[in-house]
Amino acid sequence: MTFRQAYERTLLTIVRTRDLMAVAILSVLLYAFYYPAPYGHQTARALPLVVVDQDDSDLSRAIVTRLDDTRAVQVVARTGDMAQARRLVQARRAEAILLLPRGGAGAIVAQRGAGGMALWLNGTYLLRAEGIGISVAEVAGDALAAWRAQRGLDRRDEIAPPILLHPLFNTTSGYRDYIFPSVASIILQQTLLFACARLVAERRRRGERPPGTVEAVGIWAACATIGCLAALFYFGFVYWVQDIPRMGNPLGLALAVPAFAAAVSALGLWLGGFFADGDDALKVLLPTSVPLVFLGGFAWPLDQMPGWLATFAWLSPATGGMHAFVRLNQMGATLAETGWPLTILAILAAVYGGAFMVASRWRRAGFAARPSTAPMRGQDGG
Amino acid sequence: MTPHGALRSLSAACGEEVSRILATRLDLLLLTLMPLVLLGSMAAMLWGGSPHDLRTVIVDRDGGSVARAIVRNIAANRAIKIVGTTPSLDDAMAMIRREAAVAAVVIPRGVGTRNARGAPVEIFYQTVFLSTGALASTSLRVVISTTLADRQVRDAALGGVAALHTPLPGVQVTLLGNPTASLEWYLGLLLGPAILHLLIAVTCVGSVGLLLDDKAFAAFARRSPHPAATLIGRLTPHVAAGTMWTTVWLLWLTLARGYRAEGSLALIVAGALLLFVATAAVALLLLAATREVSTALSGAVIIAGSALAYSGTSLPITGAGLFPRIWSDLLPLTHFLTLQMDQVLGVSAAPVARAVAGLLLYPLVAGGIALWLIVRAGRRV
Repeated sequence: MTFRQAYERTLLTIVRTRDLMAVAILSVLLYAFYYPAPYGHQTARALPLVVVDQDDSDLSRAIVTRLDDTRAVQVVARTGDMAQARRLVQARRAEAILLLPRGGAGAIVAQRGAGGMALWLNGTYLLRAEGIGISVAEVAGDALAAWRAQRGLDRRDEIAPPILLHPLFNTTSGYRDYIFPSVASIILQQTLLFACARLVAERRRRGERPPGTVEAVGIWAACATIGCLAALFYFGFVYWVQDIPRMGNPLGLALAVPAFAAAVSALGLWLGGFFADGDDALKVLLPTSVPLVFLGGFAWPLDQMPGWLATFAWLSPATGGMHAFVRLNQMGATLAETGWPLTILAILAAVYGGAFMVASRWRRAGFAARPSTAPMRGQDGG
Repeated sequence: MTPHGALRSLSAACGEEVSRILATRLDLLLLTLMPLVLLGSMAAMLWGGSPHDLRTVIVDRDGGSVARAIVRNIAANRAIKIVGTTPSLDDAMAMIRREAAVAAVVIPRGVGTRNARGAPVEIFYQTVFLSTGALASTSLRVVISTTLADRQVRDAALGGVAALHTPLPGVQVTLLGNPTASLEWYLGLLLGPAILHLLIAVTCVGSVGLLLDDKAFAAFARRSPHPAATLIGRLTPHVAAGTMWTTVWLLWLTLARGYRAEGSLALIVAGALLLFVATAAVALLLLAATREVSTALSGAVIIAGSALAYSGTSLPITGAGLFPRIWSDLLPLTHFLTLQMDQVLGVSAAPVARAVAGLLLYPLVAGGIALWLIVRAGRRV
């Protein structure tokens, strides 16, 4: 079989086989909108907070009013009774308690810190706690500054120079723009990996002769083509529709995408050869999705993992893809600045591609021809 | 059809399934080595407790005593590691783009000698990997504001701030359920159940899928005297394996790593049992409805694979659109994680009862429909 025949036959097989089509194409389309949906609102909103206002002063009322005006926090109760506030947290009707103690305003007038304000947060949801903490900090700080300024309590020489924060590449610090670009690499990897592994495993189940070198290259190229198209669909159309920072370095992407798609498809084609059945391949590969997302280093940095684990993580093309694509799409990095993940992707493509070729050749040599009667599962007319 | 006979079928099916798993290398691997490797890798990843030594580059345009104090205090902070000092912001930005640094601090000329209208200290931090960028920025903000406050305003206390990594001058912060602000405890509680939820959904589909004959359960339902009991028995080892691994994971986090739940660990384990019963019920429904293993597996990964994203445990789902809010409520993992986190916090009985009731709906509704579909298939001629 020629390269062209293998290439065309593989594409046609994927398009005509429902199970492969579902994994390689329909899943990609689905996840483009399904995965980012729970993060679409980007930042925390209306997190319930109970205020124990024992001071009942101008300042404490100003803080409560300002807190209620923020988007992140909603004051669900204002009480003077700490026990009642605790009951609200224990009943899960509030995520946090802000205590404004008796005499707090007086303490501020007397220059004794922030008047004993205290905040209890539900720390089990650490990121929510951080959201509430930051909102309360900003609101309390602003209210305090305004209140002190009104009373002439601040002296110019007491004010520290401000600190300016510049969030880079995701300027709203939005969750969707943080999580989805990283997870996109996993979605692109896993869908292509499943399809390639299934393709090879099903060929094996049907008793098809393993491909020769030229045919194997054709199959690999066809699978990589689908991976490239899926990646370009995400980085072009999906990111545009979702308004995610994108195309910071289109030329770099033009190099990174084929390297990523080649590495993933080669890995899938190689792994597929170890399974006698397409369903078995899925059963083993599907559960790896969640750990691979986190091993990519988007929530826990790779340099903080044990060396052996970080090395293992880099064996997953999604890790290189994540760090290459985020740099090229969101950060606008140059090729030189993306050198490491691009090099890793190229090495993985070569190694996994080579492994697929060698394994195919080896299986082909030991292949005892027998008639292929079983149809490809899910194939039209089969 | 007697209850005793159904019980015998259930017990026999359970025993047969255990024997089948033990005799099938792939299925044995999926329920033993696979969870061990997946959970082990997560345990190794989170070993550090919380990220530290976040790489930061300094752009010092002053070099005076205040600037040196800022750099010294940043270097002394456990969360931060200074990886370079450069006079050029462009060089610092290039380091951030190369991921050689998470943040850059620009110390302006004349720092500490100006008032609020003067040039500010600037913190540039990447937010594409938000968890590390935000942690670096808040740690840097605390260190720098403390240094500047030490120099200028002596009344700024920062009690409890280090725990939350949030600058709350003068406000005492206490974290309930996670007093050390450990990312290991927080992520560990989420990742273990999420990984096992997907894994058990896959093994359940794989196991019951073997009963399909020519894309139908009719033959199985006809030859089995108690098809519903047989299916429940067949799924029992998978539910037991999921519950056992969750228990192991919880023991790892609590006994080995020293974290503590304010509420009942036994209740969390009971919740895990309900989660995996729900997982088996959903898997069975997927298979009964699609009658194809590959399609049911795809359904399982859509439902269980993204369940963590829809659970609202990172970004709360309140404020999201209608579909994510409804879908979040429909997913079993959401209810289990609510129950688990509530037990870590130590809540009253009402929220626990709500979560348990939510989890019980899956075997009753999804499982009920699935069993009805399969049993009905056997009655059709």
